[in-house]
Amino acid sequence: MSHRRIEVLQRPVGRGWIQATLHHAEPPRASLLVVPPFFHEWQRSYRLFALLADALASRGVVVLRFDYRGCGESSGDDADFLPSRALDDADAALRLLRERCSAPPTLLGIRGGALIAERMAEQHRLPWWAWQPAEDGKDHLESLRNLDRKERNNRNRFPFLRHTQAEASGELMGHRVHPEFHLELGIFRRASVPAWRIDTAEACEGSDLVLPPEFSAWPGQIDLQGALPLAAINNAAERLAERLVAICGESA
Amino acid sequence: MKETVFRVDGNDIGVLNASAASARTAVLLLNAGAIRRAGPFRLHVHAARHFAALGFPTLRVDQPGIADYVATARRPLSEMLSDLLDNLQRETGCERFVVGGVCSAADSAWQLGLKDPRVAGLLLLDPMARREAPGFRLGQLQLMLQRGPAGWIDMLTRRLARRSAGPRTTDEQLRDWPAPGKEASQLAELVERNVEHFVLFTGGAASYFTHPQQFFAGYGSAARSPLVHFEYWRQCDHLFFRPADRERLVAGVGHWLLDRFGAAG
Repeated sequence: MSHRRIEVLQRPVGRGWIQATLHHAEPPRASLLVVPPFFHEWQRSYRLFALLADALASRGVVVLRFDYRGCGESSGDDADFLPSRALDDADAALRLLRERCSAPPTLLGIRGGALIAERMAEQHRLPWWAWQPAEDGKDHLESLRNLDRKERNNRNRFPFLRHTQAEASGELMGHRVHPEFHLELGIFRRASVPAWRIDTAEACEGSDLVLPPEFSAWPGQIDLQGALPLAAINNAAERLAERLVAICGESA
Repeated sequence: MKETVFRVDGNDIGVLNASAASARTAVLLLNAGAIRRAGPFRLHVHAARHFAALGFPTLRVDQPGIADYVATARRPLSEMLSDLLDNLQRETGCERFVVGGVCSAADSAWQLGLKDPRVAGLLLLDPMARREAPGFRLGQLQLMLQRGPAGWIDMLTRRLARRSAGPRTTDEQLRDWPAPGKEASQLAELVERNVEHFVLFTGGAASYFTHPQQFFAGYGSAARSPLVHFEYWRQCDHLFFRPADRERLVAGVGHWLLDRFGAAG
């Protein structure tokens, strides 16, 4: 795996800013905007997608990853994160990518990020791909709440736990959330089919890209587990790069 | 307050938070295990912003092979971290540093503190401790009694599951700890040098730490020094999952920084 130059950038959005990481490619043959998953899922998968971005950059794909406001290294408190604001954040990230790379971008929505990527794609008439996507905001919220309840009562995490812990109002998966977060996420519903799906064998069909278990088990995990699936990352990068370069060829 | 990208040799490896009025001491937060420099559940982001607002320039970085730092290390970590302090010194004008973090970050900070005289403070969250030290078995017994019969069945089930999964890697094997027994003399050396210590163990470290006595017995008489601030949060987990735990930690370390290293001039 080569190690291309990466650049950390900040871009104002509303009263705050997003922080983004740009993976340069020389020469640039295509570009990809990674629309990240929510909460612990981005923390857990961060290194996987950093390595994937690096592997793509070595194949000529410029990649931009970013944090929503209220998440990761972007501005704001945790409760500043809202799906409606995430749309503005992704929009700002897309503009940033377009300023830095003339190759037409493709959007890659990961998990909950697929709900954001789909709307972005519709608005900007761009191709979008879905990585182990959340199909529906309400279901995704329910799965996050279930995992939250489980983690609060996880005796591996809290060995000295005395009593059963109830769900904490205003918190979700280790983050404080905006009072309207649940309401907003609940109304996000996927209405279209992504141009390409990258998922587990059970979820894939036709020409979808099937991920091996070592590269698809991370949703639902909080703690890092096992070794990094370097071969699987490189294989996925190879397939993604082929498609991205083909898209750019078609649009040229 | 400014929040700027920190570049070393053309690589963007961290983010520096600094306010106009800065203290003479800067803080360096290292990756918690393999988690990105934002820290577990943004702990480092909130900490850096809070410490900088108090006047302590704070840098959070990715170490080689972690998160955005794609390349793996080509030279010893302590050497690289000393170079990082050089860069931080140039950037901030600070000549003294508080270094630390959670888990393996605490181990790296400890090693750096022993080697680099500019390290004036150590922030040690779930650092090294020995299961063999007095107190561990007592803590385990307390844990077992607290859980009651339902908890015993749960513990037994998980222990059997672990056993059938094969040999388990211990904390000692996973982490960069000094030879057994050496920590007492090392702490004495650091205290002799007037290095301040903020030591916090969480209940999440129960695989190797279950009772405060372990710390005071294992680290020797220097552990009782006024330069060593010790806390044990049994109800908190290793990654500070609950927001209230993170907020309490950030506020507590902020008070400690002000108390031990003074406000910005």
